[in-house]
Amino acid sequence: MKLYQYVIRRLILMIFVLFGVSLIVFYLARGFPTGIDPVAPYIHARMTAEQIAEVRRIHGFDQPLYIQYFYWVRDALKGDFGTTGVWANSRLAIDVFLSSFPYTVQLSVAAIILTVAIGIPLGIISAIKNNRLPDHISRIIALTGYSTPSYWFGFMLQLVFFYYFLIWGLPHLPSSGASGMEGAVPLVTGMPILDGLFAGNLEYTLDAIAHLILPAFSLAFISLGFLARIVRASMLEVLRQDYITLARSKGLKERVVIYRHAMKNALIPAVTLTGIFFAMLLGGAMITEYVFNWPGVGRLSLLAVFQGDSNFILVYTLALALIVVIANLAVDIVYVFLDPRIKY
Amino acid sequence: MKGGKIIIDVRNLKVNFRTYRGEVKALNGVDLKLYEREVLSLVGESGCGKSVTALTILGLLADNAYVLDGEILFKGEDILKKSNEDRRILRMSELATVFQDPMTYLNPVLTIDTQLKEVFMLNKKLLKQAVIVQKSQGKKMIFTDLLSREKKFRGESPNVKVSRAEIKKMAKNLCIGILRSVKMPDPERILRQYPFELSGGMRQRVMIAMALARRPSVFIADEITTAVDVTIQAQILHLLRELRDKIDASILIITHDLSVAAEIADRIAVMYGGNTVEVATTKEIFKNPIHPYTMMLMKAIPNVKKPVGRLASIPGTVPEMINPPSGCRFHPRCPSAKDECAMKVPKLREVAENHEVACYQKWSQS
Amino acid sequence: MKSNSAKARTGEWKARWADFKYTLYLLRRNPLVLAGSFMALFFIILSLLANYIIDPNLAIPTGYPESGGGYPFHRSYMWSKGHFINWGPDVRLHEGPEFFYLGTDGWGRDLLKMIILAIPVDMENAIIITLIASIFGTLLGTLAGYAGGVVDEAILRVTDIFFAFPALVLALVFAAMFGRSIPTLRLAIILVWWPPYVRLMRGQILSEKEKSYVEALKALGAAYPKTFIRIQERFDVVFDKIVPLRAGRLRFLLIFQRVINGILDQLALLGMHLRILFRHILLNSIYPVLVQATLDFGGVILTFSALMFLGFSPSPSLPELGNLASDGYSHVFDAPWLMVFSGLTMLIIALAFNLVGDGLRDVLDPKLRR
Repeated sequence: MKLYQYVIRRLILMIFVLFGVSLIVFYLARGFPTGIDPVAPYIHARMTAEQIAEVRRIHGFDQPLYIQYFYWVRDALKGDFGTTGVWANSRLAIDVFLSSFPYTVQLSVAAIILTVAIGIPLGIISAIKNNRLPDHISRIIALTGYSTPSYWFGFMLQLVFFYYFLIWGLPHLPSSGASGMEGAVPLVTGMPILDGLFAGNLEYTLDAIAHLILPAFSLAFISLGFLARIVRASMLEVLRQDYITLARSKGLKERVVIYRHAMKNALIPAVTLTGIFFAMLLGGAMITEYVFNWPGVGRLSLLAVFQGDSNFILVYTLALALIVVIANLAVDIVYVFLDPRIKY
Repeated sequence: MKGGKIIIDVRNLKVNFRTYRGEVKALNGVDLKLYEREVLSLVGESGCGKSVTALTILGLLADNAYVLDGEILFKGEDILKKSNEDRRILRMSELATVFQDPMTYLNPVLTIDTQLKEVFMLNKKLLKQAVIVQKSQGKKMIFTDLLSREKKFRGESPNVKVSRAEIKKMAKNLCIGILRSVKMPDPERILRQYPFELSGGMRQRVMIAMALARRPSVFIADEITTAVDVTIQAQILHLLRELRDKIDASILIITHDLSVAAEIADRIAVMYGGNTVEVATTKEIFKNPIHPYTMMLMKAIPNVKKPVGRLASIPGTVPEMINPPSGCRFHPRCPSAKDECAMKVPKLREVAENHEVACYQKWSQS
Repeated sequence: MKSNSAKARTGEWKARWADFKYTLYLLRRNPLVLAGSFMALFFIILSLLANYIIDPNLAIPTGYPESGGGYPFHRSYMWSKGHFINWGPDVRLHEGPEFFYLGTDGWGRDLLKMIILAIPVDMENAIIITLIASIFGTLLGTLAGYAGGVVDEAILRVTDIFFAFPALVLALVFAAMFGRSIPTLRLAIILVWWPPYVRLMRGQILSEKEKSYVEALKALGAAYPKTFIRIQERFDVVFDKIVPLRAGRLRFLLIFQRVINGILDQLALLGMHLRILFRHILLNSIYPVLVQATLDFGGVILTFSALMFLGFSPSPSLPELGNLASDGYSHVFDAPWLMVFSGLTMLIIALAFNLVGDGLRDVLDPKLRR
């Protein structure tokens, strides 16, 4: 079938997935017996019982669960996802999400660029020099990255590059936040680097970049290991193929054989993986954002979960599911362009 | 043919493979001579070492293979002693190969255009010359002009500027031309397609075209008829026969099918268990096979005309290469075997005009 | 005299044994895998012995008298007392001359001992979670792959929903809802980790199903359980004795006979499928699952400790690597050793299992074997 038919099919499927996800999360967030009371984020310790009941009635938490779900869906389709609790200044859930999402996007893009730039060459070298020293070295690097606890690595980076550099008098990188000069530049995209560029404020941009380096690298270190392994495995398989022997028999230089013949075939699984990684990063690498105090969606979602804020949790999980599904679709579409044999 | 120049001389080639279960002694002292402008067919059953010989000549053996002993002289020089880079250059300009299964040997994600053009682009100097000649003589260059090596296109490159676009265009023209010479219909469309969109016979022709494009002195065809059905097989052999008259190269055809060898070869070399056991002209081999193995092979071919009771076969099985029989590897199955056959491997010796045999028993009979 | 099938079976097992020896040989040749296995073995032994070499009572936080015991809410580390601490585990407590190799934590407990006590906790959790998740996922995947059709679709859709989330997010949500005890945390992670196995096993089963040997088995009737044939025959004989064919009124009982035969047929068919499945297909498909499980081992430990780090631990003084790290979170610049060493231990454990799993994957990949 044609490409657009395939896309439409997938989009319809996506709607089902979204509904499924929202159902499950709704039940967990509002109705689960041992969960947190949905009214919790809206009250504080000094409220009386009647006040609490009033809050409960306002938000509709006293209704049966399926009615609550119905109202939620109806409002959600209009774009109203409810209000968040006191912890987020009671703003609209959707606003809270959208205002912090650009930060996560900036972090994710940076992390993905680093991952791809380091991970793919690592995997290729590993495959070409299979079972020799460069292979072992890059394997150790890759697997170490893969085995590192995300919170730990973030802290280690902060410890060295911020704290110790500070003590030793070296120029140091900032350890938290996305920018040290909040508000110095008008908000265009919500991403400090881009906003700085738009405003022509170089100092702001450089400062934003400085803040970005450590968290991006922390994220990248963990994912690049995985990517390198996948690239290595698929590259090894490709190098064993007959058409590589033919390419060599043509008298092509080894470098040409690898770049022109082997890579295109080997990178197909890597593309899938990168797409999925990107989706996951966009979901907010919670722990890294927490450790670096990065004002992104992941950190907020952590706070929301601890507060039991069902509205924000719903917005967040739905957005995440949407991102993942779209990322999968995008990857599948890219497949068509990469591998001429694929037809939907 | 006696008197002609030898272009490839394989002497006592011994190649082993290191595997988990032991060393596979694939080639046990192969002797082979390929003369200029002849068609030599290397025949033998699966596993006798024919492909390994070809791969060793090319320098494309697997990582766990190594040359134990022997030399391969190409135009007088031992290429086994050359560096990898030198051997690559040889593959680029002198030795061309066509392999068995065109489906797996063509890169599935690159167009035919890319895969064919890169062969031409290997020799940019030649392309540049061709562009210059075309511009000066005003006629369109076709592939056959480049084919004949006598034309001596190589020479000093004059300081005329030829743009990259012109070189690319020339390469494309040559691609179209060469596809025409291998009898491909509608070459322009083929170039844009991917390998999986072509039929088996067409893919095989593309491979042949890729080999021809290098204007080689030696053209190696490794079981090119095995993976295609009989009709395509006939077409390809026909094509090869036409090309052999046009191109100035020696052709080494590796096959397990004696009928293919009979169709196209001037001489036939029979291999068994990692050795060449008999070499002679095609007529001689069929008329007067001397080596016991060859004799039994010939007897095993059923005759269409006469009624046959039981099909003749060679008793026993192919030797296992990790612990092969000592001496002549055929001796366990040979009806004429004597004690000396198990002691040392016999070498090829000429017993008649243009007819060599590696068998102790048969030397004395000539 | 062995029956034919028994003879075939021993040949089959001999082949599997030879294959296994080859696998070990390949593993031995890879230095990274060897290193990883030694490390993993070391940790396993350590976790088994940990509670014997170190008195678990040491984990009970007594605090220091100044803080009144219990969980000191406003912790300034006992030994810092307002001073800027430089790097070094060799810090003397103000109250005593004890030397702590890795420093102490907020309650004054020896970090080294706490880490050693924490290892079995993590390992035990990892084993339980990986085992349950992999078995569950594998079974589901087998069902989906072999049965096909509606069952397959249903299982796939459910798995897809779970795949839409990164593991941590979902585990987080579950954990927040389930409450803070070790079993509920385990459940939360299990719920997140089983989907990959479904996909994995399903893929394997699908490709094995198509292989020629399955068709051959079915054609030969080789897997058709003989017991069922015998039961059928017996039943027919008995039935014929009881119900003579001539009796017209009892003709309807023939329908009964047919029905029973039909049921027996279906059961036999089911038996054949199960037999093919378990004896042949499963054994051939188990390798990737093994690899995935070993790799997941490290991932589960990391996820579990991440949850602990974020604050889901049932008790703040529980010796567990993530928990110890969260203890050090607020003081990472003053007393970095808490975070550094607990995290480092985690890294080494995960690395050990990942090395083994990765090497295993290389070795068991059928395309990369000789």
